[in-house]
Amino acid sequence: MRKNQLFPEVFEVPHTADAAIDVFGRSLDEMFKNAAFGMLSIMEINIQEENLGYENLVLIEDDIESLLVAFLSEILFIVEQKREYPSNIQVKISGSQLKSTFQSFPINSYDKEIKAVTFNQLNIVHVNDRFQTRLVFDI
Amino acid sequence: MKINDFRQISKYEWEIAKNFQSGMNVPVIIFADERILHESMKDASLQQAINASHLPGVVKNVCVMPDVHQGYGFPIGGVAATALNNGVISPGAIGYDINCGVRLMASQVKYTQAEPFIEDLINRINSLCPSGVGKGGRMKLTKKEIEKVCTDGAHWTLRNGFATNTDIAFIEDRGCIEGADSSMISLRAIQRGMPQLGSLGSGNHFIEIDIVDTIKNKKAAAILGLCEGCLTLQIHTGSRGLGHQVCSDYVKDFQHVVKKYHFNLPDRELVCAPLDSQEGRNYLSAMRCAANFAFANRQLLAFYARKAFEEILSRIPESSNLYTVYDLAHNIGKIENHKINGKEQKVCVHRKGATRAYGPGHKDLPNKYKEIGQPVLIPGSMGTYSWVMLGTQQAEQKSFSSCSHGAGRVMSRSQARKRYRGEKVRERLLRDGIYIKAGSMAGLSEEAPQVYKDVDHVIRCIVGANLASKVARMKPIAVIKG
Repeated sequence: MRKNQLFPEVFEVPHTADAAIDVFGRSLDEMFKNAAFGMLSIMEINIQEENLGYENLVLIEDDIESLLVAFLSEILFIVEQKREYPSNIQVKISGSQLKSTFQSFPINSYDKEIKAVTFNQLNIVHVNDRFQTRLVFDI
Repeated sequence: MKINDFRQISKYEWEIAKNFQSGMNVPVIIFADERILHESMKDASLQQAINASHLPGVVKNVCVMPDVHQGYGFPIGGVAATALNNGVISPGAIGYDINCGVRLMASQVKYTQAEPFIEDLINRINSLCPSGVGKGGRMKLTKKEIEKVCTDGAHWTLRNGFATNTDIAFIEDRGCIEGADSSMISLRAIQRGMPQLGSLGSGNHFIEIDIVDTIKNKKAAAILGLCEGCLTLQIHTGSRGLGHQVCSDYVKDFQHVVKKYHFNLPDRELVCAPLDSQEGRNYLSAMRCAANFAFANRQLLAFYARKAFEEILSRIPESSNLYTVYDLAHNIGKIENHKINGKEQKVCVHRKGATRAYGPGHKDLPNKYKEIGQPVLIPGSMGTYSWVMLGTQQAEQKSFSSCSHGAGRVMSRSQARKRYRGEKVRERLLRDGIYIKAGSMAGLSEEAPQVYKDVDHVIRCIVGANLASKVARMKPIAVIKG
């Protein structure tokens, strides 16, 4: 399967109807951050320069896959509803809790809508000192 | 998978036996010829259909339509029915865009008379019907009003002057599914819906002006009001952010529910709840809210498209009236009666990228269509024909009265972007006499006609399997892509 590199550690994977990425990271924190960058890069967002300041996010879920879906879904909501682009995303995961900080920038426009982050065959694995997963987004 | 993994039932029907993989509760039946079957083995769509056969309480068989392609959890073009007494409902088997569907409207305006005004007409529709990524509707409703839209569906548009009684009569379920309860949807779902009612969205959503190109069943076409050479209009959209949020919320909640009921599923996207549990009933009520929102959404777009027809085509002597032929859902879960092993049974039919296709005489059809059966609307790509078909009584026996919802994709979006440029796609279509209004050139490249299966081939499989019969073919002349 041909993969298209979107970012270091993020590869777009062909998917017939929707969009899929393979995401890697040396730690879970890094993999989550890379997943957010990957998702935002699919959306091709055009932002303004003005920095709206820092925002914090705290999430608790039962398992790590649910935490990833919840985290990315929050980012989607911020993009669609607040029309803000989260940049310089920092993630800290402790057990079932995620804390994230990011800078927000106003969005001018974006090219692709992501309807939802799915659980499709979602499975985060730790192989050769790297965390990795495949994510499928409903387009 | 290999061709030997299938048992051929007929030229257009194939079976994957229940014992093909452990955990399957029923077989999978694929409605396709050998070529489409081979194509569908190239992605994960058939494995997703096999996974769907693991759903608790699934009955008879999982059905796969000839426009099948890979989705998430459940294939697009998939149908699964679950028993009310011991079966489940799965949000992922319905999809995020709940009640994504198609409205077909027809007119008596001849293309030969309207031709000089088509560009003005599509521009006017484009200005009245907001489309594209991040674009909301023309009205901003309060939370309370959105809740009413969720419970009343297209009837809300009727009360507010955006619909006629005739429109309502020709919408599936008369545009309002009973049992919707807005207290079952989250505040976030309502917030996402508030600015979006009356908007098209993006991706594969479209508004398209067509000409009735060929009539295959004169009697049915006359009943449906389709006349050769006349203009028609199709609207393809759904429940927008409200529906996406309802599905997201319940897929997340049901991650716990499957543990509570000890369900073992091959994919977390297929999470589900028993239909007779509180969790299942809550989702059903929430899903119906989103479905009703979608009926109202398409009706609002239909209202403004009709207004554009009246404004622009008032210059020609023929009546410019645009009337609703039918409006149907293709991502939905419906409680219906079907014969299972010769016995009438109430089941929840999950249709994801599949259209209901009741045959003649069904009690739930509008009186006008009882004699001929339910219109089945199968749009092609923006450069190819669309078809109006009719449901059959055989479909009631074979596919829980279900049929295809479109041509079906064959190429991924990333491949399409590499292979086609939006500007070139637009130029090419214009050379073929099709005006295109697109929110984004990247989006247009992903929707190039070549990324879809040949719709005529899909139609041959549908007719060959007796799931629907042909009424008329329509040719696109102007398309708004979100």
